[in-house]
Amino acid sequence: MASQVRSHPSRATWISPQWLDKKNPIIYTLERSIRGRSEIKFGTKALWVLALTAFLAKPLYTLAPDSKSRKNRISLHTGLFSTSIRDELGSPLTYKGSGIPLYLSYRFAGSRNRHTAALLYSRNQLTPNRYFSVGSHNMQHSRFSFSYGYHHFLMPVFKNRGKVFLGVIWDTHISLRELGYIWNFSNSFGDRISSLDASFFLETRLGRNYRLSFQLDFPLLAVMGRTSYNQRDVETEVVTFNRFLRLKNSFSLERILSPRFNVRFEYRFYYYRYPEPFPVYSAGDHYLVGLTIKL
Amino acid sequence: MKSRDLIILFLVLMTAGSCTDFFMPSSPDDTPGNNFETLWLGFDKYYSFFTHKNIDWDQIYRQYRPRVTDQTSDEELFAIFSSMLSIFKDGHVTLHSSLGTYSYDGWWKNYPLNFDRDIILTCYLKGLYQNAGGVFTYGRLTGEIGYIHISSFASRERCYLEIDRILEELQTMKGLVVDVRGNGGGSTVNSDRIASRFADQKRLYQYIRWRNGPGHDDFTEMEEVYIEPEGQQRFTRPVALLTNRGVFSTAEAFVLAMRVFPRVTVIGDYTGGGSGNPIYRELPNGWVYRLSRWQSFTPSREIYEEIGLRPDIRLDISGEDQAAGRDTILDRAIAILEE
Repeated sequence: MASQVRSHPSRATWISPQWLDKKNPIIYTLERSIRGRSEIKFGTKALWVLALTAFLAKPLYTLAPDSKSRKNRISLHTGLFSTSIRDELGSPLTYKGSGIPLYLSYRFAGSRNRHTAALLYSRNQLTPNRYFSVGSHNMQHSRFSFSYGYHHFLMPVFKNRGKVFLGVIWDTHISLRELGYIWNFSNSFGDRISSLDASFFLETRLGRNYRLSFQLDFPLLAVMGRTSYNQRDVETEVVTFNRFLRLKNSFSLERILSPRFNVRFEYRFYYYRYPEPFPVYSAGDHYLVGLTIKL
Repeated sequence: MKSRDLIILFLVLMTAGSCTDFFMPSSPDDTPGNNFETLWLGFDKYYSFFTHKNIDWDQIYRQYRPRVTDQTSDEELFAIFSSMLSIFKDGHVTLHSSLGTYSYDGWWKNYPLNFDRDIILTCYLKGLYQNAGGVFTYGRLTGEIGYIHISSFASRERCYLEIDRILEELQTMKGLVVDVRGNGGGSTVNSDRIASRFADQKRLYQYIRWRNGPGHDDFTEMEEVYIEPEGQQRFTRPVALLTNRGVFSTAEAFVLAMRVFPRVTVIGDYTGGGSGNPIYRELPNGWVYRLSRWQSFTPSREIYEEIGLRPDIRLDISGEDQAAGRDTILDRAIAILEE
């Protein structure tokens, strides 16, 4: 006897291979990746991101309103991250693990406003950090996020060395998880959130060559979809901030190397929690280092 | 500001932000009591047949919870859990541990086997048969009647693409015996693929509803499930579909799909009666359990969990036939197809 797996083409579905929408390249790539069948290795992906950065550099340069002031910045980061997930539909245990993320961002840093677009991809294996006499359980986790933010100057701080901005961010993230038990049993889960966040941004210069910034985002409205009770469909709901708790913040320290290049250290933290009936808790720390090209 | 100060400042900020453990709920401790609570609650929240099987789950809690203490050994705990889960009489309910596996086998063990593969291979196909995809055994019973046995729907999807080649070889047959006796299930992607080759038109063959809330009778609306013609090769001439109690889970969904076609006759025993699409979950000690989480119904909205699907012609293999190397069920199928 073996488990049944349903296929209903008429329903909006994702996660399981038989109803995988191959027309959606993001979902498809992540799904392939999470199942370990991706033919593209991590290093190759990094090269693709670098190539994309180079490809984007020229048009962004020409788009800049004042290219001499070099307000356009493209950053490519990598580093370490740790993730914790508890998805009560699959397990009562909290799974933890670390890995290497890829983070690509574009910023327009005007004197009165900021535009930011960012892509983040990470994939890692999580474990319950517990020894089982029956063997080890693990969770393959892929996370992809995209965000676009606009911040407007609010006021100067620290004797005009710093600036405070307020803004909004549109953030979308997809998290795919395959929980593998011993004896080759496995369950697939996932969630996706698109949210409109209020954002606070503080940036200040430290000395001649350093710039320190802090950002805190808080969701106002979110469209959330998560694996349903049947692990096939996606339960989608629109929630306001009082039902959906998510925190995102980042600290970054930028060292000015030359008129063209900065090196950037960044710490990013996120936490979110889905409401009942099948709660999902997820949190992550990212420690990133990257190169910023000023255009 | 000196570089050292900056680095210290940055590290302080990073440390201040490392709040993962603060925000995340901790995993429940691996104690016998927590394992019991997790198992009981998992069934309470997700299992789909409490009412159908007339199970008072709260009573089961009161009966078994006092037996579990901090001193309960793994062996004792496994025995308690196995005893508790046997209440369900559900072939989809299992418990996997380092000490062994609990599963319910009453859905087939207490009934006649009604299938002997060796008799078919040696006495009917007379050694002239082929295997395909690791799941098909096929050949010709007579000059005009073909035979296909499908052992499982759990293999890789590409294995089941072989059905087109098999049907191409048997396309000249007047009738076909499709034998799923002993088929314990698998994926309905595979079973639907096979059934679609016998479809004359799109037909409703099943209703399902999922457990979706804390109440034992919290279910989704009924979903309609259809089968429709697909594939390069199709066979819409008479078909005899052979079943026994070993037909379970997805194999029963296959029977459901096949029997809505007007030229299909189901012959043999009731199927195993396992209709609840299962999910695996784990306990704090790493043991894994499985439970049913949907209800499946016939097109006339009859539930067949634990009961099985009734064949059109109910028949057992007789002892005399078995001893003589005959398959009573297959003989009847051949007779019907030759009419």
